Amino acid sequence: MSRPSVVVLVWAGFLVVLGLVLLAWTRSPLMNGLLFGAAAGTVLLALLALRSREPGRRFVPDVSVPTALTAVGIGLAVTGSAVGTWLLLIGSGLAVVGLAGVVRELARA
Amino acid sequence: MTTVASERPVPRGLLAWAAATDHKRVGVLTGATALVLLLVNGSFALVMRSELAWPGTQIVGLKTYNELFTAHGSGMIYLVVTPLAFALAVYFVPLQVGAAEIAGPRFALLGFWLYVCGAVAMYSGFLTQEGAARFGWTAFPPLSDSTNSPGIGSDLWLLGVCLAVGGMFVLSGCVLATIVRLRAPGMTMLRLPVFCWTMVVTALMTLTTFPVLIVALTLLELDRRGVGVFTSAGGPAAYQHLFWFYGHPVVYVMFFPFVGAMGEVIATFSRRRFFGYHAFVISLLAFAALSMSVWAHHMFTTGQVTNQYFSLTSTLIAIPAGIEYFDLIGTMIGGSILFRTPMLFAIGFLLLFLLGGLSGIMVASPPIDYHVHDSFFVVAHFHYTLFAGSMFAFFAAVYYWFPKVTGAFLREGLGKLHFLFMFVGTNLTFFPMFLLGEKGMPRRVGDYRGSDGFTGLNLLSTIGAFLTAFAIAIFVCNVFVSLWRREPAGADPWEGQTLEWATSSPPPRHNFDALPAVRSFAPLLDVREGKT
Repeated sequence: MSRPSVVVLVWAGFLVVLGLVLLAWTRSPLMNGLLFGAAAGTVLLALLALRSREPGRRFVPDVSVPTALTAVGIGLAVTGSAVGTWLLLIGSGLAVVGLAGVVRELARA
Repeated sequence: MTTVASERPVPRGLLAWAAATDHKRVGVLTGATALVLLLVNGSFALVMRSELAWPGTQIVGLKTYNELFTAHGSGMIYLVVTPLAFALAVYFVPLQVGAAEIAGPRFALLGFWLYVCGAVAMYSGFLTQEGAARFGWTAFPPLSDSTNSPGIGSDLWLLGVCLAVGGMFVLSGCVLATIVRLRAPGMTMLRLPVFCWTMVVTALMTLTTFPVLIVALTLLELDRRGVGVFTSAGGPAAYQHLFWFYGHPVVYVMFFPFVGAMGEVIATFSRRRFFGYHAFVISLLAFAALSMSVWAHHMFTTGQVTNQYFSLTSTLIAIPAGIEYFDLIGTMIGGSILFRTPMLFAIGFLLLFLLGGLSGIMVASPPIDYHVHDSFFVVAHFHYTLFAGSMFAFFAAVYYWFPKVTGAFLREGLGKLHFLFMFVGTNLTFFPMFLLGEKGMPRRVGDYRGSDGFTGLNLLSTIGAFLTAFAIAIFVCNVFVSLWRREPAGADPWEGQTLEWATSSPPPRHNFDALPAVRSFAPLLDVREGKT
């Protein structure tokens, strides 16, 4: 329990046990799929935690306008899928510009 | 410490806040946005309660009523209580684990703005010709399909929820990654403060269930555009499975962080080390796993689920919940308790959440659930958990951590007045709902007949709602007064036990100049007791 990946695996184990008990009652692919799917996702998280290493020294900007721009762009694009193509295009454009800015920030760091 | 923040002067101005990568600013922005939305959604509740005070339609028509209860329910869950939990986490988890920064600061900023975009999209439905979504926060098909709920307002609501939930998903990833990667030397998993542990399980639940809701709502949106996803015979039940697989764990996403905050408050104001730490951790993991396997208790009456299994798991939840209660109360026993405002709210939380929890065990039993399903009993039950429980705990956390965030105390007198009115108002609002539900008043109705015998209890509930609103107004005044005429708090005004109290109030950009040795989950208490 002293390592994060073990904690996540313990939790995945709980989910598997609960999934097995559910199997005794029903073979519904949806119900079992949801619970075992969550367990599988948790195992993936555990693997990610296992691979995770302490990050090196890095520069963190105080302000990242491109990140905010990307989020607003995504928001407008998603909303635009209901409102109209014009908003979808504006949002997508903003998101692309924002992402380019983030890449530039990362390259500078 | 492995991650360093910029040592340049902290930028000022609107943009410096709006595009800040500092986790403290992202946390404050998220919390402030959620609090504003609390006022908005609370005002919707007041309109609804006013409408229900007497039989007949006096204030809003039934269509508007349906729009309001949809906006209130979905707003409170997607845009208020969940974001408040993550606001606390984004601000305090890096501090409690001794990190200079949150993991993925740009992602945290991205999460905040996705949440804001989602909120704007959800409410923008009110500006459309056909009006806002009016199918309840669950959006069950076929009620939510394009035939029964035409208009772009419903589409905006669906997409807005996806964005807001997506934002919380991103924030939860940052919080979990911070705990996994950025803990200070000596801070092993079994030395994490209780609040961080509650955030570990919260993040695990968020990361595994929130995508399911996004998928379900996206499919529903496709359904509305004629793709035909949930139109088959089993379609609506399939949607309900997907929805509740998110919809029940989110109740605990809105609960665990506040239990963790209560652990910190109760330990600090009892002047004792948290009691039963290891049992608390194990019970949290079991509790979170069980809460992932209870979703279909919301579907007992559909006849589409195995009631025995879901009744069993729902009832079993009482065991880890009982252990957590036992730990919280055990921490107080033998302590020298200080009844400051945070502690009052914490005790209020313990008392009121118990009512919500116990009524939860009642509806975990299918025979009782059949009787009270879709009645006001259920409304009372979940308001006792989410408002009387989570919001009381949130206010305890605010009074506790406000000095750390701002460097100034909230006024104690106003705080106690806030607590008093909120305690009375909350019980007056929600307890009559148990009786209304038992008498058969259905939920999601904007009107009832005078001969139904519901008038007296509804009037009482409405009076309670206005008392609660008055309590919230006192809190808002308290925040402004306390920021305007500041009572400086110092770095550690409460004699806290965790690392956030080892730095200045408010903390500097890089959080810590120096850290004490971490040998337990209460490192500052160790220092005070001479154990390091």
